[in-house]
Amino acid sequence: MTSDRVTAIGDGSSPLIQGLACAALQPGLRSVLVFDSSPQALRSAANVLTEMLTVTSDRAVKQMTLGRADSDETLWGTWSLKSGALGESFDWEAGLLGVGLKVVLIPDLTRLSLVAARACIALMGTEIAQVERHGYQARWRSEICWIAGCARSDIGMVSPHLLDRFALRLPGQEIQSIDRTDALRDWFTELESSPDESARLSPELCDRLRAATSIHPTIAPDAYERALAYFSDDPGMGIRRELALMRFAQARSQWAGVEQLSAREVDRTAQAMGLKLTSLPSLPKPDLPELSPVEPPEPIETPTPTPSPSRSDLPKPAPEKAEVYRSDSEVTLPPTNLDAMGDRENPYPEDDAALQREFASLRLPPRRFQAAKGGRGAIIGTEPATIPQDIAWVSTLLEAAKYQAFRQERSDQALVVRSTDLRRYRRAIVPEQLLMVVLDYTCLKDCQWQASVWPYLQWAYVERASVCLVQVGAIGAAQELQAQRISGQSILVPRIRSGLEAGAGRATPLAHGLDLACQTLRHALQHGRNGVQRAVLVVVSDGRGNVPLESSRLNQKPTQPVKRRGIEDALAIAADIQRLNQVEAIVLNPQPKYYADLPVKLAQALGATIADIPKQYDWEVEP
Amino acid sequence: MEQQPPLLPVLPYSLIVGQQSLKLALELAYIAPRLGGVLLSGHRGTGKSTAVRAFAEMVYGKLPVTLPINVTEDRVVGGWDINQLMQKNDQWKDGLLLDAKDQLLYVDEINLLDDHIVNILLDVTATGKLVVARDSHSQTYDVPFTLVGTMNPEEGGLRPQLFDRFGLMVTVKTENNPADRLKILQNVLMFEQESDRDPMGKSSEFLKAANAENAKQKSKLEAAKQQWRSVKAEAILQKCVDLATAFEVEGNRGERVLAMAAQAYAAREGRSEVTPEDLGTVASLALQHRRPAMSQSGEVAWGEKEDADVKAILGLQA
Repeated sequence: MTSDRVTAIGDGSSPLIQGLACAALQPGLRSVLVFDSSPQALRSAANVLTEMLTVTSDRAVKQMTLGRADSDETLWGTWSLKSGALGESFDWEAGLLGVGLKVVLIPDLTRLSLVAARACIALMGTEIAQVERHGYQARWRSEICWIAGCARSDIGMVSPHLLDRFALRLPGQEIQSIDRTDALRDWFTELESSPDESARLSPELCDRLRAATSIHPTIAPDAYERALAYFSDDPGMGIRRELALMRFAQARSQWAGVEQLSAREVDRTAQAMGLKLTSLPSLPKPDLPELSPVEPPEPIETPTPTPSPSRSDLPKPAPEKAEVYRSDSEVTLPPTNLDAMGDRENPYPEDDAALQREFASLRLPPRRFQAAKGGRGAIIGTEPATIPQDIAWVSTLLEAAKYQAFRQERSDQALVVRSTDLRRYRRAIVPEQLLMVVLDYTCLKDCQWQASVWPYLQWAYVERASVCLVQVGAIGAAQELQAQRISGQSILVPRIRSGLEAGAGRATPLAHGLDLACQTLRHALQHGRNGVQRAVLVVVSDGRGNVPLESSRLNQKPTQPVKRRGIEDALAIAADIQRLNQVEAIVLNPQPKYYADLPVKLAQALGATIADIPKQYDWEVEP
Repeated sequence: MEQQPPLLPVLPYSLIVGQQSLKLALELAYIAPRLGGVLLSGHRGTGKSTAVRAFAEMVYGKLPVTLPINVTEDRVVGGWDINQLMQKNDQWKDGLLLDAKDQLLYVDEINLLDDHIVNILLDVTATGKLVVARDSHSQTYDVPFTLVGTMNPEEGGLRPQLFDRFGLMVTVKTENNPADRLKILQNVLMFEQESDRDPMGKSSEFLKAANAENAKQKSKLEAAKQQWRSVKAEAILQKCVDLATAFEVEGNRGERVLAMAAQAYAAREGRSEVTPEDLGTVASLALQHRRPAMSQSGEVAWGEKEDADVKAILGLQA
């Protein structure tokens, strides 16, 4: 079976396997981001990386997974109570990110818990790890190799500060056998036996990796210049990308068994990464001490650069040929078909991705309502409690246990817990406010409704409120006689924005829209342990509903004349909404030409304040 | 139990290319600890953390006392030694604030710290005293330390009160001079290569030269540290007030820090009297984070116009 798996990984020429080998060889590349990879493929890649690291380090390598539900205690460690010969004592149980050579797999970077993201910021790209928690203090050399998956389309959801820590960006690829029948046979065998954790790398690949560890390529002076030519000197960017390119090129030389890193290999590496030249190097020669003697220069052809506006302050590169130094130990790399290098898209999609995340997304969640009932949101740690709610009992009892030797007056006395021992859960943020927008698309013609709604959307952003948009009479509605609801955890959710931009349909199921709003508000404010403390309802409508509620519910066109039933149903539901506590309602009046009193009646029924929406052409021009 | 590998060496301070303002601020805060620390704000990958660690290695011979973002309150202010408590021994274990006494206290990603920890830092930096009143332990300690914080403004700013606690502030930018960027790449990769080959730096000419340069710089700073109090600043005091007034700095801390920073700078340059040029050099470090715009928006508003204004006020040639 092992020999079949060897074909699954092959001879190491695929970009993904080659990239993983480079990460195993070069500590500076041990943070790998794989784009658009399936969970299975990512796990396979992590397994391969683990085995490669085992080979290159000649040490045992653990593999672990970070996800959505990690807490500070899980990641950094916690005390545990132990009984020994000298009585009870506390032992520090190291967390997932503690000492040791390990591969940490993040299946989906967009779903990483807040505390795990903060831990990544603290540990990625540095060798110095430190924990200072609950009386425990340690500093050690972090030897974590990170591998994370993320869809290119979701990259805007991740903090660029975190993304910047990923040195190596690789295209996702399935790691599978060339012979699919053999792979299927292997899969059946695995089903009947326990999971096979034995080596998946071929002996040849292991030998090649071992051999590569003993090679330390020197860097030709022009290789540095070449690396810089692939990046702009935008002051917002650091030097990490240039370093990553150089390290990757160095590791590829190692992998290829080459003793010196040349400018040409930097070009090949950049091409494999999907980078494009932004300028030709035109820099003075470095005054660096040379590690090995170099041969006289030999001219080579240089690729044509792609102009970059951010390098406009550099002198225009002359179309001259660059010099390359070649050592006597240089070896020609095996031919690589660049067209077969797989994905060669920009490896830094975050530079121009649409923002889909919170501002300051790595900060701990604030508490807006101090007296709010607890127990919502994923647990991400514990903190001292000032009110006896959502108590983390294990942490509280462990805290109390420390002081028992002093507190207990008699040996048979039960555990004494004081208020200072109380610990509560620190939880991920959950929206405590809700913006509900009921938008009647059939009345928006000729009025500046966007400007009128804008302040409420701003409020929702500032307050981190969840958002629910009820579309009444939208053109693309799945059912013409019914309103539809779009919900999002925040105003940044793209479907809310696209929902707001829908055009006008024909029917106006206003009563159904208000009914949906009423149900949603009741659920948010009254259901179980839901966290919403306050809701703002914004209704943009002229009040002219033309679909009775019953017709909407049955999704059947009325057979009798509708008359005022659509309007009256809407007013009745509005009266129900008025009876809800914690709802602040606003009606934005599009000032219809006919039945101008209906928006006012709707506002009265809702108990809402009313504001006029300016007309599109609300000015007069003197003749 | 797995054996811990030794910590890797830190890039020597003398190999840090460019970043003149950052280095100047760290050096001034070392020469005159009463300046009140340094805030380094800059985008990712600008080498802020590397510079602080390298500086601490050079002047103290070890990594700085560091307050990480995972820190809990008991490790900041101190707490009972838990296993000693279990044995009925009430042994107090000092926190990081006391560990950093007369040294540099480094707070990485200070804008991501728990608000509660930031409040403790605010109290201590405001008074220079650590008042511990927790877990039946009550004591007051004098804790003079140099607070050095780094932050990436993309992840949110700091409260205005905390800005004011830092004597100096530097807006760290990536070096965009091509020659400097080239030198950075060369130094970092060469250092990695050489320290991998020779971790103690005994045989590498490259590392020996860097360490010798470090030693020279350290002795220069030590001499300045002894001298800075005797540097005369009487002639520029009015200019300090003029600058603080012109830039609408609230309170008196701005002009005090400005004068002190100019004194430290003159000492660093081996002079016994502060000149207007010295003031011009340190003005942005002392004033940029104390302007009203900073407390409103958290954005540093200091550019070429402000530099020109400083020169005009000081009567220097533009």
